[in-house]
Amino acid sequence: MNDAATSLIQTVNWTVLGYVVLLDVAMLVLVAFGARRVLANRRWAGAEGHEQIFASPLTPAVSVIVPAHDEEAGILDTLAATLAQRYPSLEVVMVDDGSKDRTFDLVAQRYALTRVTPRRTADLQVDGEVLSVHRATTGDPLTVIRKTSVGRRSDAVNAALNVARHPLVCMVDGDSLLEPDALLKVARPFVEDPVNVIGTGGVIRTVNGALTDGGAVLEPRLSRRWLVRIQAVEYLRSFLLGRTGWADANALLIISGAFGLFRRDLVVEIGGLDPLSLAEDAELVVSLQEHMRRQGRPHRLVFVPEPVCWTEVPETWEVLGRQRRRWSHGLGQLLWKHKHMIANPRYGTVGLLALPFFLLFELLGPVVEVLGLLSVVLAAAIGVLDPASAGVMIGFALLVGTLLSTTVVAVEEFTFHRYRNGRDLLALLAAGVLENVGYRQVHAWYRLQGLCMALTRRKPVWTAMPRTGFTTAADEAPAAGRPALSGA
Amino acid sequence: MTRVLVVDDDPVIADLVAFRLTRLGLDVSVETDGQAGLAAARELRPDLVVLDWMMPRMNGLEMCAALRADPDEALARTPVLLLTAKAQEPDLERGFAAGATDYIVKPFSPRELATRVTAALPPGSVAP
Amino acid sequence: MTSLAQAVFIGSLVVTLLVVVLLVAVAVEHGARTRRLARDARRRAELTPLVHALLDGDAGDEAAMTAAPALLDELVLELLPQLRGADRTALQSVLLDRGVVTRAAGDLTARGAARRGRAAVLLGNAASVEHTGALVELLGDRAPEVRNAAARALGKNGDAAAVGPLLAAVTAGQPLPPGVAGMALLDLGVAALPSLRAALDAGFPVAQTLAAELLGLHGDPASTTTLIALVGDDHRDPHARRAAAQALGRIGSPVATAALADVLLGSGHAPLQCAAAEALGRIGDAGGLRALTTGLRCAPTVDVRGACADALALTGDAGHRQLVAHAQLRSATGEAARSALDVLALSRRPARQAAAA
Repeated sequence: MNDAATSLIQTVNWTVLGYVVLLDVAMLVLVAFGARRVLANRRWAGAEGHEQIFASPLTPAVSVIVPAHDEEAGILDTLAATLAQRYPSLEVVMVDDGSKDRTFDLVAQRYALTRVTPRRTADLQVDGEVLSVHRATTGDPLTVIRKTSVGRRSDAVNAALNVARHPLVCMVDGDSLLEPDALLKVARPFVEDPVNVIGTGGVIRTVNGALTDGGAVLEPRLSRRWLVRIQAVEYLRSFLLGRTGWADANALLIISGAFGLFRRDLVVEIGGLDPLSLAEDAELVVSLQEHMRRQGRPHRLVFVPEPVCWTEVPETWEVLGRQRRRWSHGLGQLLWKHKHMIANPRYGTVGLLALPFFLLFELLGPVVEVLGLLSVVLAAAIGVLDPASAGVMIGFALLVGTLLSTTVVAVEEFTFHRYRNGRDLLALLAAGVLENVGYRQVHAWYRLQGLCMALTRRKPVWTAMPRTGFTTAADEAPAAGRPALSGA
Repeated sequence: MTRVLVVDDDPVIADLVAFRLTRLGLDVSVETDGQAGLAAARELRPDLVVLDWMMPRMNGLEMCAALRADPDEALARTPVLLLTAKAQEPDLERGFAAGATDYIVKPFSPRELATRVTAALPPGSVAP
Repeated sequence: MTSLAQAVFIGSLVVTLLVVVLLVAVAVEHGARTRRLARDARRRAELTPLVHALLDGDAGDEAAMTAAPALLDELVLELLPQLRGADRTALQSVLLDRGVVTRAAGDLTARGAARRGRAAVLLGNAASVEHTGALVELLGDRAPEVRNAAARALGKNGDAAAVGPLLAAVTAGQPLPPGVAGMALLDLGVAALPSLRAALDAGFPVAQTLAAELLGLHGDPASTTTLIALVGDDHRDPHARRAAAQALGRIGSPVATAALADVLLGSGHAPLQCAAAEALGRIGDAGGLRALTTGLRCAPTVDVRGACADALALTGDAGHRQLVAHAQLRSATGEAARSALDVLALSRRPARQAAAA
């Protein structure tokens, strides 16, 4: 083997290491900023006005949109939790998006649905055929749309937007549970600053393993599966970094699919959700900002650093792979569609900071990481790998990753202290270490696949995640004797 | 002795209401969610229930409706006083439609609540 | 090993050390927090009878009350926003007696924004009228959260002297969000009405919009004429006009019918047209029938047609007849009419209670 090839491989190795460390350090800095904000918020979150907002006639009404495709396992819980929101005025619009299971029957029976003529409030394009519209006769403010599925969540949401009546809309996935005062928390910025605020979002947590009842999370617990535990750490981190840090700079890019609140008139103005996008919520946020910036209208996106929404995450590698490929594919589409905004000062911090960050680290990250892994394997195979140096390098990368995860768990403990059980906390810390060996690499591979799909302009497919339903208190009955607090 | 059941998921409020009603010489029990409330109502057969609306497991409206639908007629007629932060017109309508006897909006005056409880109970239940 | 690798190795040691420090911190915090929570819960339970005794003004000796820990103030402050009436007043005087109010007043000029803000919140809960001046001063604070807290406190204090400053703060250089000002002004009740009426004509559109909204919530008939002038003026801000239309609907005086009908048919701004139609429905005067029927037939957007149909459903038998007449049509008009009739039928049916799940 000639020297040129050897030195090339070595260079690649060092470059990749440098990139990984740079990425982790960048995240660490963002996490630190995020943590500062969260801590400040915990000390004093402003005039705690939730009671007043609840009682105020100035609080705008909200339409909650719940798209559902074969969700019989959890739909009643999701609807119950949504309808039981502590919020003065809301309606729920559920879309039965071509379910083949008993989703509609369950809802029709529980809420004594009756068929009505839809009261349209917008004319967004919907590709599926709207079959019928129903209203609850139980006194619950629930509207149900039945439509044929075209395999896209965005189509279901757009169908719901056409009949949603209230000034604010919130899209909730069928696999998510809301905290009882979730809407109140994220609606607060709209009440306080109705002129500027166009969208808000809150913190999302993983629900797998938690103890729930009738759609309410009674006690957050950690799942026994390591794959889920690792994702729990991931969600904690992504909230601290991707969201909180950006919000200060009004660059809030992603109000996650699981929980965001928007002004309905503006969402309709930009034509609803992009039917072709796979990351439709992030797409919506970027499109809204682009729209408002172009027209020179005031706009503010606010991130509320409070946990408001619990989402079910994949429990198997296969499902996780599908989900992450889709996200990465969607991010690729998004950046391509809005490429004129990247590094464009006209779009302020979104163009100069957020989008380039996503391009460099989120989208291209997997390319570099997979390339690096290959080069290490190659180097080992042809015997040019110096075991000592390689060990030190890899060890360092792992350690920086571990530091990042540990920081995230520490912030959680110092602020929200949601996981009361000491064992859960230990498991979270361990998951943070495990994330860096195996998970991270496989994840990079999934994202790379997604990126390739985006590059080849593969037709997007929206596959639903198999649902297991939530752990209810009744299921847990035998374990009820377990002490809730260890070390108390 | 006249028995009153207080169901509210906020223990501070529940305790305060219980205190005010105990002052009237009533025998007060407290539960913190609808399911437990319903079970307690069936067991204790109270003369009146003070009920919060938004609670975990079973909300106040569901509990009120379940009480009204109880096969035991005496229990089904128990006066129910809703105590809730839901203050809008449609909420009131839903509350009474579910079978509430009276409706008090939070923030509330505990003394007013005591007066309304006295009025809803049969004459002579409360010592003057 | 190369020197680079050596440097990396040293770096690794540093990072390991950091991780260990964090781990220890987490462990210590977890234990301490769990113990603290348990202790607080116990102490709260112990203090609750004292709070209840204070409500009746018979806490026993004064000394016991003044000696009670700071947790008592916390308990009282948590309870206050949920209460009205004599019990609220009793708890407020407890805060005063324990010197909490005086301390908070001192904190209004503290350096830390959190301290200033918390002090403002406390003064609001304690309903301490003496400090209106200091709180008004805070409306111009450099921290937005403190401005908000001051506004809310002023609302709770119930001192009418705060109305002017609150309205002015909405359009100040460091503005108070209109929603916050609105909540405070609503808390101040009818005392705010004269200033609100005056604000309809003066100042910036933001203040006008807010004033119109609040006058509508108060259902203030005295502002009808000014609101009619605002809603009909094409040169004014569309948001303010929309708020005026909504307010006229809430006030419900038929005097506004003609002006609202003109706006419904003459304006090209769909949200304003919707608001006008809704208002006509709330007023329910037969004079709005023609405009609503025309809107139902000819409005360019589905939401305006829908709003007209809903309004017709509220305009007595004549409106109902119009809906029935149009319900046969296959167009968007027919759909809107049928939908309004469906809602009407649904609202007349008694609600069935949810089947037990």
